[in-house]
Amino acid sequence: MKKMRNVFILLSLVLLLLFSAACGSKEPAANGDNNSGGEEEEAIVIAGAELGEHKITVAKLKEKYNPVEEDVVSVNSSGNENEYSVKGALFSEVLENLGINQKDLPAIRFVAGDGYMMEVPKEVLEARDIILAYEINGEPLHEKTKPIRAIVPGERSMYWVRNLVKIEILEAATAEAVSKLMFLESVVSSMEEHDYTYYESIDKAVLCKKLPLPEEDDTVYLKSSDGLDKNEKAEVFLNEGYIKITGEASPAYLSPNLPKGMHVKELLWVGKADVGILSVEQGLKYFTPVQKGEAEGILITDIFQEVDMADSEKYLFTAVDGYEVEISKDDLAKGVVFIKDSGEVTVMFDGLPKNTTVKGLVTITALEN
Amino acid sequence: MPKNSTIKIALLLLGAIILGALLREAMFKVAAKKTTTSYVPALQINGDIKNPLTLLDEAEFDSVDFEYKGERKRGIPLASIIQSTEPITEKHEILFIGEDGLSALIDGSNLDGCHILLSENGWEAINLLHPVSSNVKRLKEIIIIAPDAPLNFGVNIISQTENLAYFTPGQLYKETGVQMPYFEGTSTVTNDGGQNSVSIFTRRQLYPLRDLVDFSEAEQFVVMGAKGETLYTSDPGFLQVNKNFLNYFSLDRENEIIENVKGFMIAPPSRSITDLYHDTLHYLQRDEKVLLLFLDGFGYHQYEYAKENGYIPFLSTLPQAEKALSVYQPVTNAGFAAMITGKTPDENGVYSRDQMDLKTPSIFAMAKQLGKESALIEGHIKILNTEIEPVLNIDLNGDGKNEDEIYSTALEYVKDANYDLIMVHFHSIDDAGHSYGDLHENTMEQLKVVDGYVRDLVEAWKGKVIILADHGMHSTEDAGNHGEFRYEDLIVPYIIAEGGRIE
Ligand SMILES: [Zn+2]
Ligand SMILES: [Zn+2]
Repeated sequence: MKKMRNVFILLSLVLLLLFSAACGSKEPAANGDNNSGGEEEEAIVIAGAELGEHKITVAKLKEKYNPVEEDVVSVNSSGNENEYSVKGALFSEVLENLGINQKDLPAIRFVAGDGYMMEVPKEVLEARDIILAYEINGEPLHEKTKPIRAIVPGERSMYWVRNLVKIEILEAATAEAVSKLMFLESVVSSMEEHDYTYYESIDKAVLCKKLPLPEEDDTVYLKSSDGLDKNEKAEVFLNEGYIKITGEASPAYLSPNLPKGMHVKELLWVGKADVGILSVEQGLKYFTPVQKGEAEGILITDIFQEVDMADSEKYLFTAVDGYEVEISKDDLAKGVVFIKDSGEVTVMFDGLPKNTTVKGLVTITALEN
Repeated sequence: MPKNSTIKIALLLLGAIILGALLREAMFKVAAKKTTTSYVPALQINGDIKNPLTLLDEAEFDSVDFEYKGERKRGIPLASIIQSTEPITEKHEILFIGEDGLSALIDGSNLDGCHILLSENGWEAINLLHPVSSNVKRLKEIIIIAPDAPLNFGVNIISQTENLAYFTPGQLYKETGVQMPYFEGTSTVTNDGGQNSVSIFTRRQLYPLRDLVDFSEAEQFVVMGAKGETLYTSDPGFLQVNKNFLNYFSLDRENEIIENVKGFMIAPPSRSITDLYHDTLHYLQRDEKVLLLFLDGFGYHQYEYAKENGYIPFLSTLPQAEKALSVYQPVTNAGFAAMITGKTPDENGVYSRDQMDLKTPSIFAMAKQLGKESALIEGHIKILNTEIEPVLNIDLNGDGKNEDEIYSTALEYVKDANYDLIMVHFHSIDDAGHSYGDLHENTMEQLKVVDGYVRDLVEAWKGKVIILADHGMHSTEDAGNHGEFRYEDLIVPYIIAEGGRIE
């Protein structure tokens, strides 16, 4: 009995000392902020063109979303690592609540209270979790880090923006506008043709590397008239590829050295940098043909919308024989493109003088304003 | 008595004060250390291990006392650190890398006397029983290197006929890499004066594939990742070590990163097993009937060997098989799914034995769209969930095999004029390959049996026939297996023929 009491006293004393020790040690590590009442005011804004501005308070982040806790290692630009345990809400869940899927976003930008901004690209958004952290190492954020610190486990610390006040959803980095649009049927008419064995038949094809495409940009965009599209590595497209121009499924992007899954049948158009090449034959299937005067064909305006033609006051229409016609932006809606019985790609403008009709149309160029 | 008890209490109090003071000091030590954690450099333990480790604190492991140059020291036994990382193989080497780039390699089989401690020299390795040169100060990384790690752990460099080289993450550290600046992004600061942008680059340690293997002649390559990512390229690119796995990437196209890359094939065949979908669709659209004979686990090298040695008299009468590339991982589910969807595993969702559901439509759905009747004839269990229910076959006659039942069922369907598309899955070549080995006499005999089944089915069919395999088979010490990035598993025969009897 007596022994136990002694132990009890000892324990209480030790506890007392421990407590004071704990208090003493807390001071140097203290955060300088125990004011949890300020949380009501602390908020971040999520902004986007379609979304508008959404303000979310830190208190709401804590209350509404499952807290995630994770041990993370940050690596700074000189390669030094630091380990933290962080607690916060998942950005993807916040987005989900706004009807947005993180993986679908083209890019976001973190904006800090001091004006620092950091763009987060699509690859990171697709592959990583983003934690909107409100606690680090079991303690509320430091005054300078509040209201939120972005944590992107697995990514460099430059994305781990402190004092995060705003997250902007960026628009898709649109592919470069087309300033020179060509017509495949006219383009290939002057190109060397090669035999291409396609199942039972021997068809004709042209080499992709001989197409009048610019050097810039290392991807090639390909779209089929069934609506499917893909990006191909330019080096693969140019080194290995053919455009088959006769027979089944033509025009088709093919290569005898590539699996068939990489081929594109019934090719509507090909784009590289600011040049596009469109098949009128496939266009007649893809767009709704329109009757304009005597001609039935594809509206120039439909084509321009599809390829994202560069905006200009004037466009130059050029034929294979060098004939040129300048058309103003306002007259574009009058134009239709079709294939004559002779096989020539032709553009005709309903209501404009006859000499604006271009037979053997090969190029439309957006003229510098 | 009371006096005694007073002394006791006094002693107790004294004891408590001393103990308290000690504890207090200890706590301060902990606290002080906590606040300086960020100044302690991290020690990385990476390489051919299951659990990479970042060591920031000695207290994460139990330390022991030892004597070094007449001084008492305290450190963590290296063996306990290594053990916690779970090396891939029992036999391994350990590479110490210092901040100055100085490194030392020791054999991992005997780690007695090896300690890791935190001193004024940062992390330090003191190896009492190894040469003094193995004692590295300002340690940055410890790399575990497994010379005999299983092929699936690292990256394999192969051609259509040869497995050329193999590197694990650990082994790559012994190679000479290059430091390359890598553009990470741009950050911007707004001041009163306007905006200031800075481009951030990090330096990455990369290993050019050109330096690892000589392939001066080749112009095309295919790279595959663990999830079945498949990239055709004419630029060989680089490998990068990420703790315990490897990434592939090319510098000029920053988007082209394959995480956890498994293999790199030089001059791949133009055919892929995914062609099956496209070829079948082509024939169906032309109103031709198609019979697909899926011979499980039948590698191209087995086809060639069997043809030379007379085991496949019927297949030898057909046009010479083309080489087709399987997918990673070359196992039944992934190969089968790639064949019938025309897509690689990263797109169709089936990249190992663990997935059954297709994310993209199969040839059976396309056939249905075209108003065609199709049938899938398999063994006793369903392998994938497809748009049609398979016809399953059990061993009815009790001969220990269901291959003969599959054959009988298939023959009935083939003779039934209602079917436009029939796929038959024979699996006994794979079974024999696993049991005996890819080129074993028994495997070849089984191939001969299947060759007979194939003959009867092709002769009874009116339409196109495509014969192919999901993956191949390689020899192991005791029998055979597949599922690795190696030519025996990845290159399979692909035959297109006409049905009917050859007169
Ligand atoms: Zn199989
Ligand atoms: Zn198998």
